[in-house]
Amino acid sequence: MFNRKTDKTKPAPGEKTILKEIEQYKDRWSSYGGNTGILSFSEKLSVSSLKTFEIFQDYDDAFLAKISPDISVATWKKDAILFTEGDYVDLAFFVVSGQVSITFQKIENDDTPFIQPIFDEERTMMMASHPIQLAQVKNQRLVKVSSPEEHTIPFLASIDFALPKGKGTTLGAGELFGEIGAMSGWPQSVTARVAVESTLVQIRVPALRLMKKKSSALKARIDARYKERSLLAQLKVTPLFQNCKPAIMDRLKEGVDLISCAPDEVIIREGEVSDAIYLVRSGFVKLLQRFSEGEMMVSYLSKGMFFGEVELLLSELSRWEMTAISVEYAEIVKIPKALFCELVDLHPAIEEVLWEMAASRIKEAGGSKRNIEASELMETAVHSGLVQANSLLVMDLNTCTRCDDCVRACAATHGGRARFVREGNRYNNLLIPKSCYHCRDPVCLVGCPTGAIARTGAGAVVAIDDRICIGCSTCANSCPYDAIVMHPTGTVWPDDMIPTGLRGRDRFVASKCDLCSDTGHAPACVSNCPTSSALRLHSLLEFTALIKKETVDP
Amino acid sequence: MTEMSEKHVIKKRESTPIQRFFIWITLLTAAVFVLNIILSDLRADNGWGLFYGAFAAALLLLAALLGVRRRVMRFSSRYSFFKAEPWREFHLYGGALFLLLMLMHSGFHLPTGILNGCLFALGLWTALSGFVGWGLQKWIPKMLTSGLSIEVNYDRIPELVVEIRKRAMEQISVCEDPIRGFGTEKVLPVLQRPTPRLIYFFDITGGLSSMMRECNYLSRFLPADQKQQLNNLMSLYKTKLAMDAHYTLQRPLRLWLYAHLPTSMVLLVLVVIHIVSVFYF
Repeated sequence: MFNRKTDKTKPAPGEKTILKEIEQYKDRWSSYGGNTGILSFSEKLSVSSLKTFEIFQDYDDAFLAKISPDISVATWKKDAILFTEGDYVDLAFFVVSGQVSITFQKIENDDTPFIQPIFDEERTMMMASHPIQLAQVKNQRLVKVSSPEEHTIPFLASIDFALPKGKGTTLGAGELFGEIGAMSGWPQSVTARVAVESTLVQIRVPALRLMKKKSSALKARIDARYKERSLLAQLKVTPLFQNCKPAIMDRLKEGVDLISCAPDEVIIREGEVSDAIYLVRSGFVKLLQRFSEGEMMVSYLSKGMFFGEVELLLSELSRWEMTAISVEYAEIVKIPKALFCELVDLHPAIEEVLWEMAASRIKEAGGSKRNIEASELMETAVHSGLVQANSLLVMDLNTCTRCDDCVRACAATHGGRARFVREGNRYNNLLIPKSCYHCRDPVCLVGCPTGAIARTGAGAVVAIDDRICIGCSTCANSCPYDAIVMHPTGTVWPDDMIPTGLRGRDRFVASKCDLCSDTGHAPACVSNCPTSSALRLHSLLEFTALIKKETVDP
Repeated sequence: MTEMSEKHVIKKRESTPIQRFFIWITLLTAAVFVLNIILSDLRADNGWGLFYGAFAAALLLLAALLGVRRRVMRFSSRYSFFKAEPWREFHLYGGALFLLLMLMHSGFHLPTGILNGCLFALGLWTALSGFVGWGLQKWIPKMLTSGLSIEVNYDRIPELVVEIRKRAMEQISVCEDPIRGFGTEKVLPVLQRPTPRLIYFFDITGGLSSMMRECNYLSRFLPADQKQQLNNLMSLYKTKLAMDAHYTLQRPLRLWLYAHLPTSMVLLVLVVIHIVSVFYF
């Protein structure tokens, strides 16, 4: 995939025309690998063609016809790069013939295996009870950033493979890879290079999800791979299991169930028999409790958080006290009660942490019922995507003089085209304008055919490279928060444009907030606000704190 | 999460460097003024008076730089011009001190001569209109936020009102009497165009309750599906009133600048003429 993370990769002025740059990406399929190594390519395969591949043999004709548009077959030449570390790829690769080498190279001179936690502290800080997390939160101060680079995010690697740095592995015929990152929306943790000329089936996420749901064999296969390649490494860096003995970790790895949830799927229901503790691998889960005639949201969970510990610890509670529902596509690790009890017996320290978590959860649930505002905020945060935000533009309407200097400054910094509008959701006195959140898990990055939208460096900023954006709207359609808009450039694609479908058409570019990252200063909207009403917040915690302040001291 | 936010420490707003600077400079100026009273007369043409005048002119020039900054946002975002807030603070406190220095310069007497009279009047007007603007900026945003559930861009209000009217007409066209009659007679006339009304300064709802009373009375006689139609219509009506409130209240936030900016420009020019004439003659 095209790597445009540093300026070094940008061509010198005049060296490459836009046309030439885009020529590298003939279409949305062959864009992977920068189209440097595809020898032959076929898509819209017939059912009979699909059936010749082992991975599709379990499925009936009607199903295969349904998923066919999301499947292609490509023959790659030797040394072609399929994806590199940090790339967001929305498909999985199945090796039909040949070999693919997998390497991890980013950090050299270190022989320890690459274990990058998806269950990072930033996320687990959301869980109130953990003692380490509390200590961190106490030290936090709500400050405005002076530079977008000051705030970096933890990189949420997919850990498809727990490899020693600088070393690799080779995958042969019958192997599936890339599926963990693709289905979770995480960046790839490794680089995949074609070792010898290879034929690969490329399966997009929608098809992969349907296939996994329909075939228990494929689910078992994908789950087994996840357990084999990633789960242990991830569990080891999860605060709760950090000090566990290897033997029990192996037991845990073998004994857990992996659950894939569709949006709004009920994971556990209040009143039903409790039988496990759950760990969120990806996505968001909301917890609800019966309240009067309806259900009230009492908490939400993101990557790395647990639920079910209250029922597990209190023997009097044999049934779920809450209902858990996935907010979007979510991946869950289910640890059965018996296995967990075994783990706790061997490591009493885990129980202590869990007790704290449970106490906090009960308090939180009780608090939500007493304080409707807190529950409302939580619901707003989950449904409007605030929980995702790395950089949230917030305006205090109590002090905002509606002068629109923020919008004008944004436009002045971006060639006359503002990247946000001063309209959006409101919570109390805070306006959340429609401006990019620079999400922790940016779904807009997935599926960009040219790699025009990407994270800049290792920071939090998600930016679009106008030069290689072909205006396909994939990112704008993917963004759940309407933060990306398509702008006409007033030009037309040239007649020799590749992809051919664009020739003669009006040229559009996707446009979104880039935190003014190329200026080297704080975002223009913030620095040009004369009343400091515009703020950039970096987590829901800061947002909550801001609300609290207003509640306590208006 | 609730507990977390309690633990979360919010940086308290402390006095800013600009504020501290002006507190000290004002105290210093007051001390100089006391010395002036003790040691000499209050006159514009002695050393003390010239000092006040020169200081006031310098402050006026520096305060005017806020306007310059706003016009060069392209550069202020790319180069370190500091944030806009300190500039605004300087503008505000500098303007206040300018007024004080101007009065000290004139010896707290009404000036004689046309130029001096104009300078005094314009200085007073500029400073006072600035204070009025500052007051409006403090008061109106709070009023808009506390009483209205929607936030809308002032420039977009006319087009949004057209959209609301269009939707209301669509709604009314599928209704039967009495909703059709009620909508045509009572609702549609209000949705004609943005209507600034003074009442919003005193009642942010714009007299919504009296209309709702009528609507609720009518609603008692309607079947469930028509009640829903009426509710939809009233929802559009409420949104229009909220937009009118924004239109009314955001307007002075923009208009006061017309009372402040032109006079301050003229003041600047006159100050230059005044300085030149003082040194020339």
